[in-house]
Amino acid sequence: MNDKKHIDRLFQEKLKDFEATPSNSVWENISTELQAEKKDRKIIPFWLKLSAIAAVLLLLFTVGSNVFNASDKNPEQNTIVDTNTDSNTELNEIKSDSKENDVIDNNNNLEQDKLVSDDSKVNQDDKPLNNNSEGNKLVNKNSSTSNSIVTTTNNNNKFHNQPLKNKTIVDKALDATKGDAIVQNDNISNKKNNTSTTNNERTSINKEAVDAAVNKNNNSENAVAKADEANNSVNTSEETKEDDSKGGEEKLSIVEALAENTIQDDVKDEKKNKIEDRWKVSPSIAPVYFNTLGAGSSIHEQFNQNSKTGNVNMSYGVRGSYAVSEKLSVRAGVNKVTLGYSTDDVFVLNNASATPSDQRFALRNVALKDETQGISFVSVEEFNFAQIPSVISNQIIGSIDQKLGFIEIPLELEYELSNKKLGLRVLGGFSALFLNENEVYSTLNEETTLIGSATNINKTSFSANLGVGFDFKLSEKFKLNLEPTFKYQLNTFNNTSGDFKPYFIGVYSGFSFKF
Amino acid sequence: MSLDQLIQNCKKNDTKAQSELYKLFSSKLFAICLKYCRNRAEAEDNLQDSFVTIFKKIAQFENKGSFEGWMKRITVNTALQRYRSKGVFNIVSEEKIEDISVEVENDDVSIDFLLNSIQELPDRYRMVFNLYVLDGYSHKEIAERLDITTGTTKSNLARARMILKEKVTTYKASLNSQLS
Repeated sequence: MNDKKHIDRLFQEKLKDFEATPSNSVWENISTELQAEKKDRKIIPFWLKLSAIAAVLLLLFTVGSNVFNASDKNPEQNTIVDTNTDSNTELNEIKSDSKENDVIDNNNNLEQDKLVSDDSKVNQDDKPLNNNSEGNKLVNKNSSTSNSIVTTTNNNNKFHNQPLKNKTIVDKALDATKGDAIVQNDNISNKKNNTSTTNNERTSINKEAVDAAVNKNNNSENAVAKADEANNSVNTSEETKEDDSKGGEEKLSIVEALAENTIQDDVKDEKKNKIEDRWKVSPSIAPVYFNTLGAGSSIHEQFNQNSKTGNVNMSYGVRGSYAVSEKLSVRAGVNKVTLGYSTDDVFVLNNASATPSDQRFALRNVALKDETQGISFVSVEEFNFAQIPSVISNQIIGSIDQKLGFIEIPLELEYELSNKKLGLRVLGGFSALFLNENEVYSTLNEETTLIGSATNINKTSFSANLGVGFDFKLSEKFKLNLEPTFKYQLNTFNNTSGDFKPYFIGVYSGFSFKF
Repeated sequence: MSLDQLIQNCKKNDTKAQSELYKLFSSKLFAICLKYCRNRAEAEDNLQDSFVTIFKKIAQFENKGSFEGWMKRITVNTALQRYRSKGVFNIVSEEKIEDISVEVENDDVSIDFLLNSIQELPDRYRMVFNLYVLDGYSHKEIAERLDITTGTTKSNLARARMILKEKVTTYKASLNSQLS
């Protein structure tokens, strides 16, 4: 009964309709893995990402304004500030904002009174100021130093209170996000434990395979790609095969499926390679915060050490971008941007006898209007050394506010890091800034007066830009954008003093439309 | 539920449909895994990886070709990937392939024995034998897929056949001795 059989034939016939049932644990592992993946994808809800971004931005602003301005103070003053802010924060918690202002106002008034009384002391002496007797000088010095300390602390309070509040908000926000993250981490670790325990039931090689399964995505993709390449050869070799009976019907169906899949894949690849919507237009609006990195002044060297408060203004505009490749886009646009900052701790002396030629008090880089020619500005820091003018009709601690407006033409490159529902991009480039607004104000007791315009601002200047972009895809064509961008101004100001390094941060939000 | 409907639901990540699809095809695909892998445990791992890939990529399947063929291809690919980097093979010179036949009665070898014989082959021999003899791939295609020359695939196949012949002969001899 023995018939000779080719070894191939033996295996083919026996294994042709061979089927086998895997153990139940296989499906359990598959569903666990699939569910883990689902969870992974949706693990960070959108609102959480947004609040995280907001928290980071708040933190940046807080740290930025603290760090950049803290350098303006000497340590001794800082210690005073600390104690004051401590007590003040307590106050702040009880009192409303308006009351807080009252407190500061009262302080200012006290200040005035004190100053006036000091003056009267000087006047009582009835001695010509030119005769600077030792004792007198000492009194003056003392009074002025104590003044300067008190006043700066007041200003510091004003200034520091805000960041402090911000900090607590940030902390709270961080705590909230932390809490969520921890909860979710727990979920993940639980998942992991589950898989590992089920896997433990299997052989040790099994574990190795699970590890491999993590990377499997890439691997299987490679394998499929390889298979696609190989498919062409299946098609050609199909006819040349001598033994049709070998593969049978099953073989044919596989080959067919492979061939068709190749075609599908090819079509898909073509689609992928072609960027359909290269153009994108996006209007945006942003709060912009302006300040200086170093201790310096754009107005006069006497203000180098004064604290500078950056103002938050608005910028709005529109830009268009063109996708050079799938990831890289070039973009340009036009923005209207207003920037401003205040130089704090300035004595504004409305001194009738001071002449504009008095270089000591003139603002080097500001052209004063006619009606404000009589005003002198002296930094609190300088006050100790300044000769006291013969007649002081009025003196108040105030600030000098500079306001600048530009038409900004940005030219930037944008590189896409992630193109999911929530996309991530980095961007960098330059902006040309064309000056269209230039005003200097003095602020005394909440009263703002236009005093002139700066003389040291270039009509055209440039900034270096660096930013991160987040976008939320509403549809293929329509996205919401959020772009915190740092812009370092290269040559906006001439003739600055000290280490004046102006920059502005804008958080550009808007939407974009592809076409 | 039709297969098309099942596929559609799987594309939506519907867990029930996924389970249904697994029930329908796991035994066929597991057979492939058993042939291409060294043992049952590795075959089960391979089946797991294959199904995860199938469910991940099912959105790319466009109802045009045979769905079963598509799944089988993924399963084979997963196995090939698994043993691709492992094991060092002797460089075997191309040999003249003789027609190897083995005397065998149809009924006296079990599927389990044949399967075990295949599983015991060195990885590369097993791949080549499976691809060429059982799944009808050409030498050229196997060579491209395994990144070797057709000379090597032919020589691998010859060696695989020789080993298998040896095994079947020994098995038969032991059966005969038991009987007599």
